[in-house]
Amino acid sequence: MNTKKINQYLEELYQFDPSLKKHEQILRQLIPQLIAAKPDSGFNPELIQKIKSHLEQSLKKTNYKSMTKKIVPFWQPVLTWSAGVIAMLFLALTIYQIFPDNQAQIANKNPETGVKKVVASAFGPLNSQGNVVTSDTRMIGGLGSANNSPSAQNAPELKEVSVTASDSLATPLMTVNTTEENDLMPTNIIGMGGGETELRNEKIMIMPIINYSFKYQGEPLDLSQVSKTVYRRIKNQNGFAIANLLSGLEIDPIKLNSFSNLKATYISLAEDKPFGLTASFDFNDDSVSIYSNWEKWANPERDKCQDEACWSRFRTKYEDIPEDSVAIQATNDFLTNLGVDISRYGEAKVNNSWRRWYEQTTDKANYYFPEIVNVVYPLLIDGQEVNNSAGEPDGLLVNYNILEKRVSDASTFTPYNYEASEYEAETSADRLINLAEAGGWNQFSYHLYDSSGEVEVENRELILGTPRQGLIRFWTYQNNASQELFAPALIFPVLDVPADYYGSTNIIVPLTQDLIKELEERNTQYSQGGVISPISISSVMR
Amino acid sequence: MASNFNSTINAAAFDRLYEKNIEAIYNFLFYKTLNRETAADLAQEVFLKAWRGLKKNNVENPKAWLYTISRHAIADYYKRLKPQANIDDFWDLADSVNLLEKLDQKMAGEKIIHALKKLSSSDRDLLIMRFWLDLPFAEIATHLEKNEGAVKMACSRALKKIQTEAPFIYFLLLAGQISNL
Repeated sequence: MNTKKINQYLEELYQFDPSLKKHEQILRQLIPQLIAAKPDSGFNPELIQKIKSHLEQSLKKTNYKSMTKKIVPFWQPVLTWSAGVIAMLFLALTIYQIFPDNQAQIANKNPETGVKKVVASAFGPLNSQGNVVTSDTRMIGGLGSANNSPSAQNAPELKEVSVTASDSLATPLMTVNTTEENDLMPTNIIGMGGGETELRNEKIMIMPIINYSFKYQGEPLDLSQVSKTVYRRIKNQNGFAIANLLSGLEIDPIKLNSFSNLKATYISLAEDKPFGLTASFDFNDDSVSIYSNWEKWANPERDKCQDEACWSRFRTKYEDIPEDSVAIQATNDFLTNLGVDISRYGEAKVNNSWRRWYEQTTDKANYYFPEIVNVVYPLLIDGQEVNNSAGEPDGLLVNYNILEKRVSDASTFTPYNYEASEYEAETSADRLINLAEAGGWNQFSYHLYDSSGEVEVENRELILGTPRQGLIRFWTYQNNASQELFAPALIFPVLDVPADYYGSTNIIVPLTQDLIKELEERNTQYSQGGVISPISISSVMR
Repeated sequence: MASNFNSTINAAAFDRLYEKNIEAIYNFLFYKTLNRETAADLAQEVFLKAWRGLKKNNVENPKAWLYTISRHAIADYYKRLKPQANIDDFWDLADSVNLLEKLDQKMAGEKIIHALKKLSSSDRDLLIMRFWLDLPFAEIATHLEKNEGAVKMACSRALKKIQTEAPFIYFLLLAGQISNL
């Protein structure tokens, strides 16, 4: 994989998402690995003839007739003729949900927003029994379908290691290449790679392995007030209504009413002006996201850069980064102008995680500062804060562009429309603490050992503090449709986080029986009597 | 082959459509099923459906349409195999790792599969099209009937998802480096 090609991939992505630059070192490893993993499809000219031959046989059996219609542009006239009209119509029809105070508001077809109480266990089983768990759910729980499948019981070692490693607490193997280029790289980056040489040819040294375990040292748990309520987001099907309104249009050379059961699914509207924004409406998900219209955010001077010296002129400097209050004021103003009711969200928080890495790096002069400030407005449902799979606030993410001093992205806006259903909750504090000490829902604690003696292995214990209660967003599949759910959970903070710890700083333990049971089953699969099974490093490397 | 399909010019057009797209469609089907025979069978099915469809519909972008048919064909195939499960492709199979080991794939593939399994089917399609089929974003956008910006954003999100929300990839990548030494 040559560097030029990797650079091409990266530059394409940076053009649209400059925030990726802060992950450049990892991406320079990830992309070649992705490409190297491409399986051999075995395609050859003989295969062309073989498939063709079978195809001809099939066609003969079907008594085919000649194609009577030539291949002509179909959607093009629709799009070119009336993009503006349709766009404005879509915007007018949908804007009321996202921007309720806008003058363009029309009759609200879904006036009932809020939280509607439904019968107990209304959303079906919360665990993955009988369902295919979505990727998001796997990420939240580390409960990949592979873990829960019968075959997982007899899974080969590589599978076991890989699945558990997905959320493992053992530090990754750290390598340092010896190229001169690497001397310029920030030292906090995991798996530092130069990118100029083939990865497999790099000289590496193996950093020590650190196995982490948890010990709860917070206050005794008071479970008298734990929530039993699980929430589900209700998605309205505006796509049909919008398409229905459009169906009477005659757009040369076709009539939209010649279609049946028409449904609008997705549309993007872009502001055609400097620093314009793009609003992407997803009618299936009943959501809207706003992005910078990258064509209008171009920096001609920077785009001409051909070397690192030129690029560095446009890099964010430490002194460019605004105070949190400045960024939050800008994002608040942005949302207010949109008419968003921010009372449905908790207090805005700036993601300053980069500061941790900056403090640790020894090469501060070459540190790559982020170009955007992430401001998170945690979603509140019934007054409870929603968290992501890492136990961090989850809701509306608004990005403030540091160099341009303006908001560049905001996602994801959804109508405040939920159902609430009660589920059986856990009442044993000991059971919950045991789960937390095993890594909880989002992490799994296994220990590596090295029989060869070539790798230094260190075991450390991390302390968990008194948890807070919050909602965790996750997804399940039922009846061929996904459900976006919010389950109550305890979120235990990891105290005194070591500088070289890369795991989550929160341990999540769900409070509903469905999820707890599945979590315990997962732990049982990989442990013996509560003691986490050690895994040989050499088996992982094999 | 045109004469075998039909003597009309439309059959010749379909012949050209086949010749021009069979490699890309077969490879896409293979990357989504990781089985050569299955990919070949599905490729035949896709072009059969395309032929039937072209008799009834006008299509602006036949290649995009072929990709759409392909995705549906894959989903139908796995639905036939596992009717109770909602599976879009091979990567969604719970036992895909076991199955992969029976195939003649690279070691790197066995490791990266865990990262790709973390993604949604649509995100996987993006990465497969960009990095395995080496299609430009503009072409991917056309095939998926989305705008280029949305495709780039989705691709960057998929990469971010791998590297930020699946931290084990670091471990696997580095384990891969070591095993390749």
